[in-house]
Amino acid sequence: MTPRILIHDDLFGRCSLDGSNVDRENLCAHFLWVDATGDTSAKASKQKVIQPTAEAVFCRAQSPASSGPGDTVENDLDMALEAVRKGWPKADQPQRGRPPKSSPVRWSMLLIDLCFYTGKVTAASHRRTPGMPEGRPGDDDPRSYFGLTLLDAIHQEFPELPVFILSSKPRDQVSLEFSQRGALGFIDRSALDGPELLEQALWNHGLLADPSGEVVGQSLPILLALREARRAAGHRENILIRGERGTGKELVARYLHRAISDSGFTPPDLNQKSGIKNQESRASRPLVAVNSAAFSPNLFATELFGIQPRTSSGVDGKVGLIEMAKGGDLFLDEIADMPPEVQASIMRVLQERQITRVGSRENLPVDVRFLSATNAELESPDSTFRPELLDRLRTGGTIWLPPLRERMDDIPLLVEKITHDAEAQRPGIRPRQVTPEAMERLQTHDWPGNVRELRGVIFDAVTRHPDVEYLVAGHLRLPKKGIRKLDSEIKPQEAQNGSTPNSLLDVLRHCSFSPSEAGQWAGQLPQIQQEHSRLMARLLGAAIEATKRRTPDRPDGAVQIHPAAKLATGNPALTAAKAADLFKRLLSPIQEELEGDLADAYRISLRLRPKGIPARIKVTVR
Amino acid sequence: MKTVGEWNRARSDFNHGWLKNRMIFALYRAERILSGAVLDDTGLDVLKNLLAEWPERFREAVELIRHHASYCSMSAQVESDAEADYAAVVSFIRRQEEEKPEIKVRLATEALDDLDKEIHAAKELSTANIQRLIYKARRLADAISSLSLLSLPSRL
Repeated sequence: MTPRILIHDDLFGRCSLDGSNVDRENLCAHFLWVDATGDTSAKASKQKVIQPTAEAVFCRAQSPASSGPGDTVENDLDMALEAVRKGWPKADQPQRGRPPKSSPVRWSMLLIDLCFYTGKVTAASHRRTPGMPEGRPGDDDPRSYFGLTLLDAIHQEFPELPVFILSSKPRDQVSLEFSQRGALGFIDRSALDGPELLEQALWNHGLLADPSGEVVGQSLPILLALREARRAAGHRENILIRGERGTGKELVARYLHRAISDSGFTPPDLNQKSGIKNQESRASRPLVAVNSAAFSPNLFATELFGIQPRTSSGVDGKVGLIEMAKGGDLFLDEIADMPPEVQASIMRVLQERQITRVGSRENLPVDVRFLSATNAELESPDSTFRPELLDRLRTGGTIWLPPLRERMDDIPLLVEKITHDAEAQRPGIRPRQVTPEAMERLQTHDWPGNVRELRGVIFDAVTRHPDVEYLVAGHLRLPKKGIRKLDSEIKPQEAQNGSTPNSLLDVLRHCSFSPSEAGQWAGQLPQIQQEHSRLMARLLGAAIEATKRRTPDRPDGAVQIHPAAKLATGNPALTAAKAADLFKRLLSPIQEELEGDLADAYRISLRLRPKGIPARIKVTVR
Repeated sequence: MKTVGEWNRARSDFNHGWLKNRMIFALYRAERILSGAVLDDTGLDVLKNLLAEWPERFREAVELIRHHASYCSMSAQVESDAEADYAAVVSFIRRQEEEKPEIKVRLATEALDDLDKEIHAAKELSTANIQRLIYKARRLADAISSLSLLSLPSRL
């Protein structure tokens, strides 16, 4: 998606009486912008930019917007603010009977000129520059630039809107003033490298959606989080990603990892600034993802550091996770679950920037950036996570991901994407539209499980209604009132920790098992099953991670469900068929919300055991 | 001679209004068109029209530089019958030391002549010609920007 920017400028924002603005066409060609102003000048332009860097909307910030000889031009603060409001939706909270709408395209950035000429348009001033006034004393005085007045007013009403000064006036005359008033920088409009500087500014400070569409959203909270990720992509310091369960921490880690090699918004000289030589080397930087809960206190050293091969004793070598991530990123998910022994080892790696393979005495230097994620309150006094390790894992900063309830206006975009994904996974089923009533229901739910929960609800609706053209409110299985009340009763600490034994127990505690309330019990059964499956999925996920087959070709490792099932059940004699049955049965209640390795494992189990789910499997976890 | 305010306005009209915001951007646009980054049937005509204005603009620039040199002269700043106006003389000498106006005037004159020659030499709008014009137009814009009358005595 091309960024959309707003430019307040008297010269380039005006329209002359014949409806044209040659100066604006010149400027757009230089900066490779498409003129999206929609006025007569933009409509009359025949100019076509092959690869535009932005859609530009111009505002004169003066009345009248179109002027000729005899007119008097005055600065118009209200007009300028109104133009900003058109691309800056206020945070829309869901209200009864009025769900928030999908947010319109938001300004990625605002550019403001400094000097705005006012006064009468005379024959001479019009001849020199059509529509421009002759100017008044003070217009061109750095102490009274109207651009600085505009900046004050805009920063006060829109503090999150990134603003740059775009002017051909000398920067040093206003460098203190624009900083004090909240502008993020100054771009010399007539400089030869102006377009590159602006692209760099957009990349570092602009509000840009994920062009790949993997992280879905146009709301301010998600755009701010993506901006933090892009800024983090410009250096090699360690980054911590925090957010409630289901907010997409791994997706953002992947966005951060690939951000530097994304084409489109990456400024041409970013290679040099990041110290990375060329596009090829950037694209080939590895990302190795691992669930921290999967590390066993006995085996983690071989997983992390690898094994030194020994021809004399016949010991096969193994490349460790840190070596696999050399030159790239190691993503440690759920670091709150990292065993203390592993914490100590990671701490040493971060201090010394070197590793020693098991069976070797040689220290190997490593250049790895650690990206970590957690939904836990690691700073709490009850936490067993080492504070000094936490500090080292966030030397490059922390990215906070917003919960879905704080970005409800992204739900239409998310629902569209998820519905499409669900349809794509079920060949032959009908594509569908979501009715306004269904959307309203989705936008008024509070989503404690965030995007993952939304995904589960949509997948469930699509799976159960394959032969319809509309997804209606009746297709949605959202928690009933009592259950929703239960969600709010869960303590924040527990709610952030994802599926735990406590969350299952909470569901059970609030269930009525009275025969006289059999109907309520039946309604709650699917949730109990799902909560149980989520809990077991954590165990299976850890077992999968611990038994993955890793090779240099597959640094992230290949899922093997047979060894994983043996590890999870503690039964070395478990057959492959039984292992497949185990995965199939435990994961089927939450099949719609499975992602990554668990989704792969579920597909493997269905392939191995395509027939119906067995009536009962006895699972013993040691 | 114009007042300082009139000179500032004339400089803004030429340097900011015409050279930086029109001429240089028209050159940038032409460069984009010739490189194929922008498709446009009229962009080169815009530049040709501006180049046709050059003789008139050249005269404006000559006047600007000439007036600046006049303001910075001893006779403009120290009244002829005020031999006792020692402070004005000291102030003039210090300004000459700090701002070196004669050097700035010389650089502006050279930049103007250089651009003038380039415009007359550029028989066709090729990428190489336009890049040279951009370089020289920017050099002139910087040189004119450096001319300043802000520190002159207020009576001027």
